[in-house]
Amino acid sequence: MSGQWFLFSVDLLALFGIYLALNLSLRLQLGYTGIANFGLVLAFTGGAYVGGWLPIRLGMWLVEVDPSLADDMIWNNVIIASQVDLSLHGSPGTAMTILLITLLAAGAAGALLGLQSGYPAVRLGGDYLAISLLAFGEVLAIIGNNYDPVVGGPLGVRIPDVWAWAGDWRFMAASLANCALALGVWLYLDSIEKSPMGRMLRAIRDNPDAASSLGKNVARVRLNVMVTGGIICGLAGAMYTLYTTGVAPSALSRFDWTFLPWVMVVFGGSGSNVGVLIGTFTFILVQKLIISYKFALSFLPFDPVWLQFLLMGLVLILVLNFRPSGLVTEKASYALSRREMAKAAGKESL
Amino acid sequence: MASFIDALTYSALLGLMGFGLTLIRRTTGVWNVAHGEVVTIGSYVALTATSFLAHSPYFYLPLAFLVCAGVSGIIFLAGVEPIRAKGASSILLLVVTIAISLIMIAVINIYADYLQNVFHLSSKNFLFARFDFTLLGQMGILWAAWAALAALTISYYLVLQHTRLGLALRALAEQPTLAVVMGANVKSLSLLSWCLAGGAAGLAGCLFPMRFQCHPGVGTSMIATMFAVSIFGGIEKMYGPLLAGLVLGFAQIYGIDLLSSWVGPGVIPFKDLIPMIVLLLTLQFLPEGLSGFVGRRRG
Amino acid sequence: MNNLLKIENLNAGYGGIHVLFDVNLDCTRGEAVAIVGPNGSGKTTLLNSIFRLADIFSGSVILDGTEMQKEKSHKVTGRGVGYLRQEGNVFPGLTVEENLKMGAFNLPKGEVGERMEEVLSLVKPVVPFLRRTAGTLSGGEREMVALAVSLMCRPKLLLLDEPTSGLSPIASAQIAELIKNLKDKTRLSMLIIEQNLKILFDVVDKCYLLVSGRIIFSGGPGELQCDKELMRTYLGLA
Repeated sequence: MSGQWFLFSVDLLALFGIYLALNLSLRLQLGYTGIANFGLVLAFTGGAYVGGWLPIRLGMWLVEVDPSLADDMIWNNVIIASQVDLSLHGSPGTAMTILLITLLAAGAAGALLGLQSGYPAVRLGGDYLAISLLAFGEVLAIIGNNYDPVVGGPLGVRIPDVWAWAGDWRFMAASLANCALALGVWLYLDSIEKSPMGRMLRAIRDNPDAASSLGKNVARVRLNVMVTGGIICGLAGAMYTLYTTGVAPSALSRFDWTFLPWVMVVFGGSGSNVGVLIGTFTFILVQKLIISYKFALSFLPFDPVWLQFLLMGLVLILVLNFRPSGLVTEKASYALSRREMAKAAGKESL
Repeated sequence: MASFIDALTYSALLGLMGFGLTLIRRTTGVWNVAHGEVVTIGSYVALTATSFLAHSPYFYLPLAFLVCAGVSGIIFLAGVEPIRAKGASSILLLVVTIAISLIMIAVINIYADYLQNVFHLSSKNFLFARFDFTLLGQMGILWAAWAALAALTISYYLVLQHTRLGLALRALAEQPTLAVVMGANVKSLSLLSWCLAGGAAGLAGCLFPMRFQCHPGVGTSMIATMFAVSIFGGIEKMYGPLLAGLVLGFAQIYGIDLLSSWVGPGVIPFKDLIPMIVLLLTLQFLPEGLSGFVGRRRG
Repeated sequence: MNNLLKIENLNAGYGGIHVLFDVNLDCTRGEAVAIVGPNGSGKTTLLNSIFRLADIFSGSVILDGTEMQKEKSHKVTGRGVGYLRQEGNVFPGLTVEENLKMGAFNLPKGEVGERMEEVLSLVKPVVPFLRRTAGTLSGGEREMVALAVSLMCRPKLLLLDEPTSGLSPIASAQIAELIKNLKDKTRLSMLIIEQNLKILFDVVDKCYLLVSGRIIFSGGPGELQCDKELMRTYLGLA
């Protein structure tokens, strides 16, 4: 495999891990409780900002760096980051400590933002909630772009590379870590799927009033789901920042981190993990291919990047017209297997 | 004084943008995310017409109205209606308008790239302030924006209250199936609402570059604020967007000036947060919006 | 031809769900026809399919000699059919007067006032609430208004979907009285779905028993009452 293709695949894998985690979090919210979170970008950005703010400060504290540089963290961020990188090369332990603390903080930030968006989610429902969340999604972008101390304003900041110790395998390690995050979320959703909790969540989605009359605290459950979803988004945001070793508010757009996940989930189907996986992989591949072959389209009198928007919009419309539940549809989950049910009913088979 | 006038102008434009969102949500139950791009198209109609045909942008207000009404109507007929006819939920309809918005973002940007690369127009950043006239010592845009908003709101209100068409539109907003049973053609009434909403957005888009910098993402970047206007104003009454536009416009421009003179200039960049804060407070304390609140007090 | 409504081999439902199977029904001018049957047997779907609110898979609905199955929903009223739906049958935010005007949406503008007077003379109890918002009325008052609204379009045929459901015995009796009155005073044909059979039997001329989407009995109310087996099994009346 040539170097270029290797890099292409590794980057594909890294993005795939991040998006899969994010999309599964959307599936948790939409597919299980019917909360149409059009503000995914909010918690993701929160995690990304933590990833942009914390590691460099942790690095300065854990590793020997010229303390005078701390006078202006933003102005000097590239110098500090590269000095920290030098030390991290030889000490995976320190790097992993930074990673863990950052992830903890990002998860906490995501939980807080989930809680914040959860409040309207408890009171409102349906499309009203959806567009409120969409509007709130912009809040962190406005702050990040205008308040430099967070992540350096519109220009963004560079951060230390916690994967530096892996040397040539750096991109591979980071990509695998991203996929590990996605796998964790996958297993979590899978365990919910087969549990009474999963059935309760679906009951709340399909008929909140009935679920509430059966003694389920619908408001609380919805809030829990929003917080859990927020944690996952926050973690994904931090992992993305650590992978790219930099963050700029302009890269955390509503298109990339809210609409694109929605396209993927609606395309694949919010009723199953496999559907989400298929949707995620398809669109990441398409996006990467368009970016890779951009030069081949340079004869066009416009930027080929817009073709991606065009394609996604069209695919989404087609899916909604001809297969509104997505490629893979939801299956009923049973409390008992068929055989056990037959036994309970006192019959040979059902 | 300058910021007072700015606030007044901005309010009217916000009101015009919110008018369409409210109208569409009220009569057809859809939040149209692509409304922002319809506004942008209004701005590009103005840019194209003034660049190729000369004259002042004011001259092309009717054209912008018609083009955007057409675009909005096509969005409804080709995108929303087929999926609505299959009984899609309001969330799926919202996703449809997002899909349409993605397509329109692509088309607008391709068009802007094309204008720039082929005709060497400054299509990614334009302002028409030089074309403006003055009336009674104020910029024409102030009068034009308010005239457009007031004319639309008042005439729509009169139609709603005093004509059969208006009665049917109100009926449609309450019980669509019953309206059908009584012989109202829901499809054409909805189409009419979408076209009118698009037209209002077109007027806003055409007037916007008279005072504010425009670019291919201008409407897209304002959609969150437009939603804030629409929800804050309340969707029950069509004067909601006008009220909400005034409050938000002033809060965003005049209020931030006031705040910066107390707190310091550091707060100015955060003026875009104000609509979000207002939206948050609305959802918490006034879920029926301003017009709903006013209506409740009165009745 | 004296048949006002003729339904032949109708198969109908919603999307992929098949509800009605080979239903045949007719209703002559001035006749009141009752459709009875257990819940979920497809009674409302039958009325909905006349208005094309349900999908017609095959068969035909002929009104006054015109095939209706290709007609658009909003055009049906114009052919002289009024429909009192079981739920959502008034516009709650509009005043009663506006509701009535909306009911006459298909009439020429000049005839609305005249028609309103006619309807109000038929449904007198509505007169005191003309200025009130429909959403503030009680269940019985609202049903009365809804009945008046469905008469506004000068129907030849009136479809009534459980006009007394959820009402107190007194309000039910009032509605039944109005329906009887309508039948006596006008030559209006009616298709009535009703659970409260006792009220119906002295109004209707013909009964259809619909079970699981199929008509299993048709005949006069007397005949149905005589068939103790049917009465007990499907209608819970001995």
